[in-house]
Amino acid sequence: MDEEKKLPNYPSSADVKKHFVKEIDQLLDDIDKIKKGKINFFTKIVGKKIIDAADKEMGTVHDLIISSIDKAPEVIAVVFKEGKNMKKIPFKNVNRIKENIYLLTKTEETEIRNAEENDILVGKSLLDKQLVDTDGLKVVRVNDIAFSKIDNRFIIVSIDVGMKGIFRRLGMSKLGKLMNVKEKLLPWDYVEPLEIELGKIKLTIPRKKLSALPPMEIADVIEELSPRDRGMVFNMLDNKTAAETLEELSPDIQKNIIENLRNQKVAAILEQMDADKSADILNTVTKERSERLLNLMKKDVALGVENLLSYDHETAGGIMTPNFVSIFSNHTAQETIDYLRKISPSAKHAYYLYVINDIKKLVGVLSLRNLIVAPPEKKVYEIMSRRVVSIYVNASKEDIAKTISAYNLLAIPVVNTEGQLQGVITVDDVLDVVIPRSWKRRPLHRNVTK
Amino acid sequence: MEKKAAAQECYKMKFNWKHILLFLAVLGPGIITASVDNDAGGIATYSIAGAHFGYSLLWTLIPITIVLIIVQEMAARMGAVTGKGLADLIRENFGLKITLWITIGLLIANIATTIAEFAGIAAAAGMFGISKYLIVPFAAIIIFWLVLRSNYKTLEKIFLILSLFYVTYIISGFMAKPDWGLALKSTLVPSFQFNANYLLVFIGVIGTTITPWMQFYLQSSIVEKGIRTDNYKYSKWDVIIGCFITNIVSFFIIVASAATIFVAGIQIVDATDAAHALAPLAGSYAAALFAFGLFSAALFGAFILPLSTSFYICEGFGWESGVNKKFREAPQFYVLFSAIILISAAVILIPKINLIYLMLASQVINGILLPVVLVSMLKLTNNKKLMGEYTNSKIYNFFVWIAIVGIGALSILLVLTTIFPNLFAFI
Repeated sequence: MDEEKKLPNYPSSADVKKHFVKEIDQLLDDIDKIKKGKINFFTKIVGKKIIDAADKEMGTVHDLIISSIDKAPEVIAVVFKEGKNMKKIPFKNVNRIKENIYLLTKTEETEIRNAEENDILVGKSLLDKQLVDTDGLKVVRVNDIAFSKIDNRFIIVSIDVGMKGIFRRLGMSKLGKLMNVKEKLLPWDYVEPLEIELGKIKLTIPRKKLSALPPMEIADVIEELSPRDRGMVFNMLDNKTAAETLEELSPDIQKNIIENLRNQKVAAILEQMDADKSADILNTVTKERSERLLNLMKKDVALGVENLLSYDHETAGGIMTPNFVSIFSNHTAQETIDYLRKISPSAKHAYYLYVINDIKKLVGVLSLRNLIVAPPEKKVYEIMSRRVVSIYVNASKEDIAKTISAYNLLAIPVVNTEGQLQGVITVDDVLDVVIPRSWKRRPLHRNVTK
Repeated sequence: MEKKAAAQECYKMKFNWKHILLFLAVLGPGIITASVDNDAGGIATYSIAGAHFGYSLLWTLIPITIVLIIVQEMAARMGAVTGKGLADLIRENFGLKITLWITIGLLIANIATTIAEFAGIAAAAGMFGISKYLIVPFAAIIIFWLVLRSNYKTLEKIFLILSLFYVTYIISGFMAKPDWGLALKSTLVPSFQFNANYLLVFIGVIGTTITPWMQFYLQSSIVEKGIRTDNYKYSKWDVIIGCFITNIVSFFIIVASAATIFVAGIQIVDATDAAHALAPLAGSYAAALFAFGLFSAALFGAFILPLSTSFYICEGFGWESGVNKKFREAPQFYVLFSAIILISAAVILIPKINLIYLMLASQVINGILLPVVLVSMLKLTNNKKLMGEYTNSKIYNFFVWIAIVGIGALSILLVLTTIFPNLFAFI
């Protein structure tokens, strides 16, 4: 953490990755622990009886002492009150924490000392203190502190900032359950204890969501996770981000994620992708699942994908996208501009405007520039270029690459044996299939702004 | 020693314009908080005190002023030294449970008081022939709009102007042509009557002057104004002057009704009764002034009470608060404020609503909370870690304890008489 803080304003992509891998791990860990009930809450520990090895009660827990306040604070001693004095027992003497705290040793063998001025007491220095975000605005107060046993050390894992914590502290957990209040834990990693004396604790990350990262970054993070966790992370993403992230992943990881997701979610993600990409993904699942997924998708989207699926995915038919822009040869320039404005195609799909006649046959091509400068009443066939390079649906990917590079094209139309326009392959689709995967995933030299 | 230093400081301040300017810069929280003390409920209580017991309760104003100064000074000092509100400090030092109960109690009591303020607005406007269905929504909208749209500085100016309107009571006091000699003598020489009504009014006068919410409001506004230890010595004078002004106003309210209503032997139950009764006795101008004073005081209260409530709830839970913040920055604060205004104004608009039980409940809650809040304040101001060199001196603590025991006992009596109205019947 300290090293990361010293980084210049633009951390490399590897650092960003490292940071967020940790963040997600922490999040997933916390979810796991809550589910498994492994978390001990501070306010539940306070007030427990301390019982020594000879079954003798030594006192009740008043507070806990932690090693430091920075990274993963570890509990080092239990504090109890003897009259007015605060006494501490080293945490290594603790055997287990159940309804009482049981020690490994007898009272006379236990090293009991007076708590000192510079001991950091959890209850005194953290509980009920103010949390402020990175802008210095007050957010909420610390309602409770969650500990967990990790590698035999008792560590602060998160702070409780939710209503459930409030109900627990009031001894009204049941009422909280009745009102269905939510647990809200903040991983300790988010917390930067500043101005502890003033009772203010800062949050390092202003409640940022994973979705705010670019899909490329999320993809990098996901590759580091275990198969089960990948599914969990994908469920947290919105469909559009999930779709974009999925496109960035290698086919085997794509396959692995799709296997771990529910059909509804997969269908929703596929709807957000280009038809050629979703066809690729559907090619990796079993036939039955593919059909079920297509059934769950919107009719018009599913139709386009189904059409693509009928082609071998190593050929032009499998690579092309059916989402292209075609215009009609017998329309006027003005009509065509109005039509384009209405469908507002994305930049990628409007490199070239392919012209078709009334039987959908590819008859020409028109650049946006030529369309705009033409007199509005001119027909498209009068201004288009009749020399249009196209390839057949069964062309191999090498053929496509060769043709595109030979003519220096940004996109190429795909036609069937009747010459009817079937789809378009853009230059980046070709790059995806031609460039070796290992090449593409080499770290890029660029800056990631915060 | 300390006194000598303070006296010297005071002497030096007399002829130094710089000091006066510095004082004017911090002026506000003390005077505003003390002024709101004379809200709709306060005016009613003082009118009744004057109308039923003449000048005889005037002497209580002197000890009340002293106690008020002691308590308010502690709150202001805590705010300046720690930079935190009272609810902040209570949560951080005494934990969640006590904070929550105080908060819930104050919320109920303050909503009830805010309703009473709107009732005061409605009643005062009614005297000028304005319908409550017109004036209450209008007042609510004005309050909304000003708090949502302006910052602390403008709002404070508005509050200080509202504080000026209390001068109407001083004028109506003079117009009532009181027996000044008797009034002065009654103020300086304590007297006591052992009867149930006297005791009730006596407790009421004290109960209405020192309330829990004032301490929270004063401390929060000291913090929001940004007063720190270096300019606190000026702020202290703001508090002291405020306490004097509010009790001078109380004095004139009592005097006005003592010189007229008491002399005429008329029984009244609230402030509008007093204004009505004044008309034939001191002239219609005096009555109008009295009613106008009631209107501005109630409006003032309707501003401050919801603000104060939103402040301490947000502090307790750690949410951002303050009128200088934007809605986006302090959403809970503004939602709470709006909700309290909305509820209170809506209740008053219910035709033929009877508020007596609500007022009694609020009286009981305030009576129970006041000693708790005062003891918390005493503990906090004696906490060396919090206050550093600004902890209470031993002598100061001695007086605070006397004040707390006195107020505490009276508060408990107030609660008991509210629950058992015939408590003093045996006397």
